[in-house]
This record gives sequence, C-alpha cells and structure tokens, in this order.
Amino acid sequence: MNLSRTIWIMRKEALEVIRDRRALLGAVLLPLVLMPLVSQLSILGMSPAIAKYKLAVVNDDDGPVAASIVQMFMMTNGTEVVILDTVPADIQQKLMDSTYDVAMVFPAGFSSNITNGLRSQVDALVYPGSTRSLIALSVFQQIISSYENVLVAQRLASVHLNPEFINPIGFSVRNVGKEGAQEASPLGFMGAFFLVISAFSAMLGIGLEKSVGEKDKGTLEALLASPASRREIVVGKLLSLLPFGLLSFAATIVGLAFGGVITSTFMGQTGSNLQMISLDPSYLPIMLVVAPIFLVQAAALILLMGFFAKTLKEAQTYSGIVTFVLSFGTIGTFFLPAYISRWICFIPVAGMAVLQNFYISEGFSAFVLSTVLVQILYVVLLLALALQVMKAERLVSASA
Amino acid sequence: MIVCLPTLEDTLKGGIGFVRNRSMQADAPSVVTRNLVKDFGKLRAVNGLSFEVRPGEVVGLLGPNGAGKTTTIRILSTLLQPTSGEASVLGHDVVREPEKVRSSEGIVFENTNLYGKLTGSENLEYYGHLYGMNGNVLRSRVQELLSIVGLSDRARDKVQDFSRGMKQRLAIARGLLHDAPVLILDEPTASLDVPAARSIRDLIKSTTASERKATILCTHNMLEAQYLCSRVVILNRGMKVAEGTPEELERISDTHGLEDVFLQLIRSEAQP
Repeated sequence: MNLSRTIWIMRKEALEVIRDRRALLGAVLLPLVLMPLVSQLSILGMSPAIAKYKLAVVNDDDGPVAASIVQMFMMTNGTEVVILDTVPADIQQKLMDSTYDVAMVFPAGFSSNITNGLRSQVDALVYPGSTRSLIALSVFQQIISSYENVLVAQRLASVHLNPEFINPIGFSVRNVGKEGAQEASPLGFMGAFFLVISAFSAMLGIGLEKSVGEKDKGTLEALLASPASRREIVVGKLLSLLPFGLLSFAATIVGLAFGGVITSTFMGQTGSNLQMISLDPSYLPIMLVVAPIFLVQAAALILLMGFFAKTLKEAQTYSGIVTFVLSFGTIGTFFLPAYISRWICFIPVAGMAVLQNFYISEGFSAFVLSTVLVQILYVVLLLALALQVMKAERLVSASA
Repeated sequence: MIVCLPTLEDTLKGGIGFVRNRSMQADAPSVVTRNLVKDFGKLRAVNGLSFEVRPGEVVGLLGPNGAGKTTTIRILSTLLQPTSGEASVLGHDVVREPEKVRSSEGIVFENTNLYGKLTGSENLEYYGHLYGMNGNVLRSRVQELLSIVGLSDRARDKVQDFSRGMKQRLAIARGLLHDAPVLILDEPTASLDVPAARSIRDLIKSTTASERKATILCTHNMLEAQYLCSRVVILNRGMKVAEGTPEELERISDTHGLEDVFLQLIRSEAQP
C-alpha cells in the first residue's frame, strides 16, 4: 500500500467535506443545538420550577381540608391556581389548548368526611393527549399525597399508633456490582448513546457521499482507473471520515455539558437530580476505549454500505436498517433482562453504546474485555468486506 | 504502404485486414487485445474482439449504442475483467498487472468525472499525486496543461461552476497529466461547441503525433473519427465488423464518408 497516495486521498476527501457546509452543520452544529434540548432542556422544560402549571380549582366544599390543599397548591413554586365557581362547559377545549393543565373539583362535604375519619375523593380532569397535563397531574398528586401522609400520621397518633404501623416493611437497595457503581446516574449510558448516534449520523451522510455518491457522479470510475489501489482508496476514505466523527463527538460532549450547566444554573440541586441523561465521568475510561473502535467500525460499515449499494436510495435503505438496529440495541436495554441485553453488546456498532452500561456494573470484567475484542474483530471484518465489495465489478455500471 | 484489402463480403463476415506502414511495423503495439470476451450474465457485451494500437496512431472504436465500446475501454482501464481472451497495455496484462496498466494510461471518460468542490488546479494536482507526481514538476505540468486547454484564468475556480465544455477540457487535461504513452478517450468532444471541439481534436491529433502516443478514441461522431483516426475498428453487438483506415473502408464499401460506411455495415449486420 502506497502511504503517500492514501494520504492524498484522505486529504482530498477531507477538503471536500470542509467545503460542504451542510455536512459540517450536520457534524457540529446539530449536536451543539440538539443535545441540550434532547438531554436536559426537555426535562428542565417540564419541571415545575420552569414550567408554570395552571390549575383550575372548583371548590364546592367550605371546610378547612380543601382550603388547606388549595393553599398548598398556591404555595407550590411554578403553579398558577385559578379558582372557578363551576367546571366550564368547554373544559375539554381548555385542557387541550393548555388554558389549564389540570382541573380539580373538591365536592361538597370533602372536609367533613375527612374530619369524621372517612374517605373523600377529589376529581381531577386531565387531557391524556397532553404530556404536560399528565406531568402536572403527577405534581399535584404528590402534593395531595404529602398532605394525606400528614393526615394519616395525625389519625394514627390519635389512637396512639406510629406511622410504621401501617407501613411495616422497609426497603433498601444494595448494589452487588462494581464498588461505587451506584454513583453512576441511572440513565448515564444514554449520554454514551447520544455520542454514538451523533458520530454515526455525522459520518453516515459524509461516508455515503464518499462512496455511493461518487458512484452516482461517476468520479469513482476515474479514481478506480488511477494507479490508486482499492485498499488505498478504502483506507484513505475511511481515515477522512474519522476527524468528522471525532468532531461530532466533541460537539455532542459540549452540547450535553451545556445542557447540564443550564439545568444546574436554573434549578440547583433539583436540576442535578433531573440530569438523568448526562455525561457521567464514571463512563470516561470505557468511552476512551470504545470511541476509537466505534469510529473506525462505523466508518467501515458506512463505506461498506455505500460501496455495496447501487444507488444513493438503496444506501439510504441500508443505513435506515442499521440506524434502527443501533437505536434498538440501546433502547432494548431498558426493557430486556440483563442476560439478553448482554448479547446486544456483540452487535456491531450498537453494542458499543450498551457495553458502557455493563462497564458501570462490572468494570473491566472478562465479559467487557471479550466484548471489546469482538468489536475489534468486527472492525477487521468490516474493512475486509468493504475491500471485497470494492473489488466487485458492480462498482462500475454494466453498460456496454 | 502495404495494404491488405479484403472484399466487402470478407469485411461483413467479420473483419478487415490491417493496414500497416513500414515504420509502424518497427514499433511494438502498445495496446493488444486477443479474442476478448466479456459476459454480463447471459449478455455477451464483447465477443472475440482483437485489435492493436501502435504508438503514434489514433484508433477509433466506432459502433452503435451497446456495441461494446465502453466495455472494451473498461477492460483496458482494468475496471472490468475479461471473461476470456487477453488484453495488454505496453506488455502488461490487464488482469495480472492492473496497477502497471493503469499507470500507463491517460483516460478521458464520457462523463467528465471531476470533483465539483475542488478547483480546476486542485483536480489536476490530486490526480497528479495519485500518479506519483510531486512538487514543482507537478505544479508546472498543471500550469502548462491548464494553459493548453485554455483554463489558466479559471484554475482557482471550483469545477462545479464550470460549463460542460470547460469540464470536458479539464478532463482532457487530466488525461494528459502524467504523459502516459496510451490515451483512452471516450467521447472527448461530446456536448462541446464547435470551436472547443475543434481545439480538443487538434490537441489530440498533435499530442498523439508529436509524443507518439497510442490513442484509442470512442466516438459517435463520424466526422471526428474521419479527422482524427488513422484506423477505425467498427463494432456491432460486441463483435468487430470492420477494421481499416477511413479511406480504405470508404473504398471497400463504395461510399463517401465514414458515416455512410458505418451505416452500411450496421444495416448489413442487421439483415438476417
């Protein structure tokens, strides 16, 4: 293999991408803008500290309990309470267009029932098509629940009982994984998933342009007729993709960090608790191992798809399937039992995101290391396949 | 001149004898194909094609669409492998020594195949590097060729902003870049205006003669073939149906102009 020719191919490919603003936008700007939105601001936007939830209250009760609960609603940060005489006839429309997020009706006799040791019921009206409405409901339910706990404690005290009397079983969680594993945030690996998906998406557009795109334009024919060998062409193109994958990695990290800073600034400790999808430093060692393997693997897979496909449309179909597998592999870990999701680690590309979660539980265990080894073997296999496809005559159309 | 003139009947049966002058006989052929066959599944695109191209001559590959011209060129440029038969360039077999073959050829494809986001000079420099050229030698060669094809003032412009004719001229400059002894030109003047096409033809003619290049020209333009080609090989349905100088073929078929010769041969082939 001629190194000089390989470097010139890489240089030319990189130069073309740098001059293609759309590709750069996809690789850098999209992660910078999307990551804070997807990972942090969506959570932030739904939290009561930022989102002002509007609660309509119809209080047909004249007793103290309903009044106290309404008072608690009013004192809750970010809640606007509107007192109404009756439930409006167009309540469905008002809930749909977020005039109110939730409407609550305290019926007559609500307080007297409770003070007499009986049970009362609050009617909550929500529009199930609105996520905001459902989140607001959970916020208000928590408030009522906390008030209920106080009531229960008072009732128990009146008969000389402790709250433990009706809550006899305690519950504690002990992590049997790696020591300190509990320090990792529960959805921390989603940060790794975003890194993987961002870099893959950025390289996908560029890589298909460099493979099937060249085939479509006819420039590949001239390149294949030059003294550059198939191996030099594959390696040159592959190397040219890596910096843009890395760039996308960096942009995603900055985007996630930026989202985290905004959340913490606005919400302090509450915000930190909400940062479920974040860059967790606990993942750093495995990410350093995974990142280079993933980048080469993804680049080889993209080139393989691009050189195999006859047209850009065909390549887009293949990439859709690969992206589905990549997403399913990661999201599957939410739903599948651990003994099944372990196998996802052996899926090329997708396994890279899932593997990081197992690292958090097990450290560099034999399983994690063997998975890394298998993923390295995939790199070799994908490169060999891409080279084989490059040798096929289908790269050149069969017109006579 | 030693002229071997077959009858028209012989010609229609499957080829015409070579016309060679004595000086050519002294030169070994740069391009040789022997019984070349290429199948795409059940379709036989090239069927037993044999011809030679010697230094200093332009050999035209003529034929209707689907005759096998492009497939032959793709075999000679190592993009496709022959199903059977042999092809060599400067003695290098296209199957066994593809890299040496590719280094010996300057190719101008029917589609210009240039990189739109690179400038004119960057396109040439890129290919220069692939052909092992470097530094001042490459830079001065690029300048020289851009000047020859009349693109010096557009050297720093991106090719995506070039007209079709300008792209075609740049593609020809790329084909000439590494001064290859064999030139393969597929429709080099297609969609060029008359002055541009004429300047390209003159460039091909003078380069072939002065630098004794072996040039293969694929074209549908019979006037161009008549003007440029020292010999023509007429293909139909993958087979050679005639070979000779344009004048000989005119004389044999008793027609005027290569276009009439071509049409007569193709129509004869079409008859049962």
